[in-house]
Amino acid sequence: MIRDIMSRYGRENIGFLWLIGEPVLLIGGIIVLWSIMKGAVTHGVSMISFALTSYSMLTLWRHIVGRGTNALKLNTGLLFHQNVRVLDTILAQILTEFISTFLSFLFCYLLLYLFGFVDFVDDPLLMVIAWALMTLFAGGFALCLGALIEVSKPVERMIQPLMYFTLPLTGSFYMLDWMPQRVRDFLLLFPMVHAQEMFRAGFMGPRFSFYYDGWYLFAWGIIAFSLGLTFIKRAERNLHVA
Amino acid sequence: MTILAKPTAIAKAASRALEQTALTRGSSAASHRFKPLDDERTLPPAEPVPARVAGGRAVIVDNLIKSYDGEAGRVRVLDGISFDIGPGEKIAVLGKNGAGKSTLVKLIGGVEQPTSGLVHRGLSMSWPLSFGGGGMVNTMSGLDNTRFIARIYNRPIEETIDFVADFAELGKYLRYPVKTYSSGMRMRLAFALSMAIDFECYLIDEVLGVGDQRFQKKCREALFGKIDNSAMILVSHHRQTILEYCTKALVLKRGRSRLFDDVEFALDLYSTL
Repeated sequence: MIRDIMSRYGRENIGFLWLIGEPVLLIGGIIVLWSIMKGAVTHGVSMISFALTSYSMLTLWRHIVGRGTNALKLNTGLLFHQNVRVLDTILAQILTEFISTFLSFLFCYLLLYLFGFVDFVDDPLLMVIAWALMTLFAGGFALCLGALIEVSKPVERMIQPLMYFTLPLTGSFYMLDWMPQRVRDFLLLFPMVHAQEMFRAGFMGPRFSFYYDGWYLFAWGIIAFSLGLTFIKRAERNLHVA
Repeated sequence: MTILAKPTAIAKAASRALEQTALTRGSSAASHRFKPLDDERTLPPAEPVPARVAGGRAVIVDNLIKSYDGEAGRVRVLDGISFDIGPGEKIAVLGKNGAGKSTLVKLIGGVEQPTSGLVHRGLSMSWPLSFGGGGMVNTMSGLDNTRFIARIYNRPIEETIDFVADFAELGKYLRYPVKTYSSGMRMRLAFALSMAIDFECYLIDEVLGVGDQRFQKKCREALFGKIDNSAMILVSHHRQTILEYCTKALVLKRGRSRLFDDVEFALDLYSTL
C-alpha cells in the first residue's frame, strides 16, 4: 500500500531526480557558504564534514515536518479511495523524505569523498540508526502537527515561527562539545540534538567527544509517534474533503 | 378550495408529512393525522427495519450522523440516516442543494468519517464520482493515475490501461497531467477508471449529465447495461434518468431521510420540497 503511494511520488514530476537533487544543491551550497564564511576548520572540526552532517540532518527534519503536515491538504483527492487513509498519505511522505534526503546525503558524501575532502565514515551503522531515529521522531512530530492543523486553524499560522525557533534546537549549528556544561544539559533535553550528535559521532568517529543517548531519542520517537497516531485518528473524523 | 390553490396545498401537506414521518420515524401516526386530499397518493407506511446482518452482501447505513464545525457554529448535515442497499439495487438520492446528498455519498464511500453511526460496506464500492474529480491526483498524468488506481485496487495494470484508453477516448491527452484537463475530460477519465475496476456498487454524484452526447450514451450503456447487476447510489436531479433506472428513492430534507419504493411518488414529493 505504502509502496504504491511511494511510486506515485516518484513519478510526480518527470525529473524525479529533483527529489534528491534539491537537497543536494542545498547541502552543497551550505557547505561552500560556511566554508567561505568560517574558514575550513572550526574548533578543530573540518568545516566540510560539519556542514555536511549538519545540513543533511537539518534538511531531513525540515522536510519531514514541513511536507508531512502539508501532505494532509495536498492529498485529499486520494482519500476518495477506500483503502487510502490519511495516515497512509503522511507515512508515504515521511518515508519518501527519509529515503530521498539520505540518498542526497550519500551523493554529496561520495562526491566529497572521491575528491578527498572527507574521510571514510567511522561507523555507518550508527549513522543509519541516528537517521532512522530522527525520522521516527520527526515523523511523530509531523503527525501531531498535521492533526493539530486539521483541528484548529491558528496552529497552521504558527507552524512557520515554530519551525524557525526549533532550528537552534536541532543541534545543527554547533557541537555540544563546544558548549559549557549547563547549556549542554539544557540542549540535551531536545531529542533532535541527540540525533544530530549521534549522526556526527558515526561520521567523524572517536576523535571528538559527542553527547547523545540513543535510548532517550528512541523513547521520544516512540512517544511522539504514538501521540501522532492517536491525534491523526481523531483529526480524521473532522476532516472536510471538498 | 379552488382548483388553483390545490398544488400548493398538496405540496404543503406532502412536505409536512415527510417531516412528521422523519421525526416519528416508523410510527404510522403521521399519515392519519392529515385528511387525504382528492388526488393525493397516501404515503406508504414506513418500512420495518429489516434484521441487519453484518457481513452480509449489502450496503447498510445505520443511524448516520455527520456534523461540521463552521464559522456559524456546528451544523448537523445528516441527522440519523438509515437504509440498506442489496446487490444490484439502484437507489436515487433526492434533495435540494445543500440537503446533504454529497455528504451522504462521501460518508458511504468512506471519504470522510461519520460523526456517529455505521456504514457497513458488504459490496465492493466505487469511490464517489463527483464534479470535483476526486480520486485522482491532479499533478499526475492520466496514465499514471490509471496505474495508481489499478494498483490500489489490485487490477492488472496493462489491461486497465488498455480499457481506460479505449473507453475514455482521450488519445494523447492521457499522457498529460490531469490538471490540464477540462471538466469533461476529467469525467471521462474518472468514469473509465471506475468502469475498469468493475465495482459492485457505484456512487454517482450528479455527474451523469457531463460530457458530450456520445460519451453520455456510452456511460449510460456501460453503467446500466453491461453491469446491470451492480448496485448504485445515484444523486441526480434528472427525472428521466431516475425514473428509467432506479428502483428506490431516498428523499433527504434537513438531515432526515425517507426511503420510497415508489420512485415517481418520491420525485413528485421532491419537486414540492
